[in-house]
Amino acid sequence: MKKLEIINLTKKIKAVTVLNHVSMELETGHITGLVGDNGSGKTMLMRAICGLIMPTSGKVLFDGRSRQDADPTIGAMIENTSLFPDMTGYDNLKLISRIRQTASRQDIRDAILRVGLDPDDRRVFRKYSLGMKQRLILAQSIMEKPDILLLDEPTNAIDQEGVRKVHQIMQEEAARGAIVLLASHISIDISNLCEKVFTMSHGELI
Amino acid sequence: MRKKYLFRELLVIPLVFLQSFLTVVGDKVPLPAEDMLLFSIAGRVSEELVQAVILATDQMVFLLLFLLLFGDFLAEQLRTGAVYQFSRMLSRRFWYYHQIGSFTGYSFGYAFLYVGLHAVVTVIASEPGPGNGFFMIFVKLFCIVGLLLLLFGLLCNWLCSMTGVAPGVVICMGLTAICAVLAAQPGIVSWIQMLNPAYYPIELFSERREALGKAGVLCIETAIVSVAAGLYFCRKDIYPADGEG
Repeated sequence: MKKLEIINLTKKIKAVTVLNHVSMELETGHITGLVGDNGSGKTMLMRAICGLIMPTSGKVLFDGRSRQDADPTIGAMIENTSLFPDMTGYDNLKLISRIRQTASRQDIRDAILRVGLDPDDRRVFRKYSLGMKQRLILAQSIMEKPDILLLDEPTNAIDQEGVRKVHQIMQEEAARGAIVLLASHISIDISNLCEKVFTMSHGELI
Repeated sequence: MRKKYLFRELLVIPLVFLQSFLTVVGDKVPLPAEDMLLFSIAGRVSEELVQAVILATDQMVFLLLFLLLFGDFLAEQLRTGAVYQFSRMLSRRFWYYHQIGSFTGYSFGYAFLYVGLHAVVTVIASEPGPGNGFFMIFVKLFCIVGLLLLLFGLLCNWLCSMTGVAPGVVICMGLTAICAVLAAQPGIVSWIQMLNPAYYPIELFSERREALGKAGVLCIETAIVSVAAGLYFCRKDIYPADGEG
């Protein structure tokens, strides 16, 4: 069983400590919950796991090795972010998949279908509704069958049927062997899906 | 007040410097200050400096257009789709090498079109036609212009990433204009002119050694900017705003 270990992760921005000695261990096959108020550091922690921000100190290990050595596939859906506005959903995912080159055309189509969208939809991303945008961003996070799946408020703008689909996808991904970290304000999401829950406040785990 | 807008207010300083360059560095003017102030704000049309600026800026228009078109080439990627691109990359260094390669291609492609189109026009317009030195002059101009575009383009992208697109492009355009005006001023120490990227007078191209020296200086300046920008891009924390990627 593989592990994602976050060891003493600290991030300071100017004089503010946004992550303060955060340590946790996540295992494959499980959905782990992350709860906390706005600004508690949930999204920042996900950004640090993805390598989008450089930690001031501490490390993130996958299977006992650094990210550079282990090279895990990370699927991330971070709150309030967007894709390329003038490209179709399929083209967006195809472009992103070129970076790792592990997802085939069929994988991309399957991911889009799994989230309940049409891979042949010719509308460009900016013409999607908020819920559709969120579904497509979820599709990009699962298209490469990632080792680590980071989901930050994945059901914010999604309707009831979509929420069920997102829950099902999370469970399927965990069953496939992915490490799933879910940050959510919706307590029912957390209580129904997560076996382990971490709570954050002011950049610290409590 | 928001820092961002306070910073934008300060952008008027290089503009005034540019407009008043001769007044600041030249001889005293035998006019009362109120007349000079009035002349500075409302009566600049026949000012000697304005002519110098217009001539200098005219020579740099190709560069200003390039900055408008490509000034945000790399910086944009840290905003749009950044979360999904960079979370898939083990090292941003390779991304930067790739981007530098593409950007060099665009810079020299643009330089080739610019110098090449001028070459075509001159061949058509010249009565005796191209002489023996035509090709060498074309190559020298192409190299100098290409390096100039690469240098200012990288600088602009770096500034855009640090300050935002609009201030970044404006600052870089201001720098370009200052360099162009400095290049047009006689009597400035030769080593300062050699370091000034916008200084490439006709005389420079008659001496092979001088042209090579200028290209070498531009190469060093470009290398310094590309290394500094690379360190910044590779270490920058990515926090896209709402609705950005």
